[in-house]
Amino acid sequence: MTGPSMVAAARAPSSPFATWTAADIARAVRDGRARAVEVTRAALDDIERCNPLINAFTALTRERAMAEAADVDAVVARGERPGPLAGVPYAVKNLFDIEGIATLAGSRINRDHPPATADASAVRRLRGAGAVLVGALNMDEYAYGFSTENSHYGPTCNPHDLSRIAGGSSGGSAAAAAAGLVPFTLGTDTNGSIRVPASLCGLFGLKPTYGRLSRAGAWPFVGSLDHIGPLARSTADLALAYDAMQGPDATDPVCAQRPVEPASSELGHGIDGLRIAVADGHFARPMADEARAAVHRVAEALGATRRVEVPEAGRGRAAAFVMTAIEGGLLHLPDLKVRPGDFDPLIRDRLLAGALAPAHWLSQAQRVRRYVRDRALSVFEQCDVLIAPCTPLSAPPIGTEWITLEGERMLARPNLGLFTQPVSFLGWPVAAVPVAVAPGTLPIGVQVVAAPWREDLCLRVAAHLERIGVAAAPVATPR
Amino acid sequence: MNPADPVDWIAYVDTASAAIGLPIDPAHRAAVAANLVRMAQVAGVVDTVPLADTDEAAAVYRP
Repeated sequence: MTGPSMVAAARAPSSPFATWTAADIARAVRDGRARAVEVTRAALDDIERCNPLINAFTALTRERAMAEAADVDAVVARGERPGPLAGVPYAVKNLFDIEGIATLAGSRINRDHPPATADASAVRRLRGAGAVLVGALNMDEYAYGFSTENSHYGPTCNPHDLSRIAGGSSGGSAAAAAAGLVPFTLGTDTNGSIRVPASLCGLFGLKPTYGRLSRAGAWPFVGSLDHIGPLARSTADLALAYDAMQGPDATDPVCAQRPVEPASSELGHGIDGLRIAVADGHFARPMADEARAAVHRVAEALGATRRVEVPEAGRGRAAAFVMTAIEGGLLHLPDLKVRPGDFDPLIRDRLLAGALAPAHWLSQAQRVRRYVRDRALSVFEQCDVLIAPCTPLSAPPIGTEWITLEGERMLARPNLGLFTQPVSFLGWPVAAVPVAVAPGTLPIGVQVVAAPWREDLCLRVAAHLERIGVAAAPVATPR
Repeated sequence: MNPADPVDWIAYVDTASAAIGLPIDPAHRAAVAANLVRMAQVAGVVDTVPLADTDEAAAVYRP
């Protein structure tokens, strides 16, 4: 072993808990077989040693983490219930408010903002479940990208191959979990920003139904399309984190008044009785062999022989593109006026163009959203669950501008979201599921999509695929 | 820029940016205009949807 691989091995996590799931850790902490402070210290030490290689973290919250862990241990010592995520270290995309530090959202501009005065709702709820926040994670500036090639904080590297992108915009969230530094993380998804990095880093990711989880205290990008959700190395961990964050929240106007509908208890129900189909039409557009093979393998494992078209998915994607550019541009108009030079050059000109766009384009896109919704929902008369490609290819090298898929040359960065964008536009729940690959092969995922509010079905199918060995998210071995 | 495009997007950038008080560095004008061209193409796809007068915006979107 020489060169970069030797460096990589020297920086692999050494914590005995690095390969444990969140469920394993919480069980051990609850049973007194491990102490939260011991798990947390090991995670923090691993992050300090390993992060320079992948550049996933932009901040460590060591003091806070040790205090939260000590609180959990004290609860256990008193014989009380410490919560379903007791002592589990996790980290969040740096657009979530963390009390006491400025919320960067991947930007240089927000460094000048005062520290957040309170935690984001999701962070508060995870703390209530016993989880321990260890840090904040890199992302595309203001979440406007699919690659986490951040010009201010550097690119996040894919833990499976350090020369390649981790995906984005929740790239740090994916890299940190894939590298074994924490068992789960939080990301956000406006057009695919949880699912794209989950696919490229080989993780499970959940983008819930639009309005399911509170976004309060998460820096906005496109309010009409923004979602939050977890990334993890197992379906059970995804469900644990998701369940802990559910529930109405009056401080997010989009958060639905729905009761908590736990998914963790549903994971063992398998796929009996589910009508599962493969998404056709827009979702059969050009893709690389590995993406097609991933869909084929999952479809075969699930006995999904039927192909169904999601009506209007393509025009929905077009409307999402327009809404994103314009709402994003208008959100940042005040800073674009006075300090355009402080924006990441990778997003600046798109934001400026969005801020100048005719009002008609945005109005039409918003009206088309309802039109598309009304037609697309008919697909669930034919099936309960849809299988679709997630990214059109596995992780490209950092700096890739163009890709060619089945002879069609296209811009690489926007087209990483080719298949994810229509699903977030529709607001449907979707799990990114990593297809098990041979060691040394780059990971890739598929999307498991269900009707609004049926996250349980996405997670049931994901858990089934995991159980039968078709899906897996082992800790990455860097090369 | 496509010579067949009837819109002078550079002029649009200059006019629209002046109208909303958004100064654009001359070095960025061409790239901003190129992004508007791309957006116009995609907005053209969105425009092909045959909306009725009664099709309202999904202002507070409920899937």
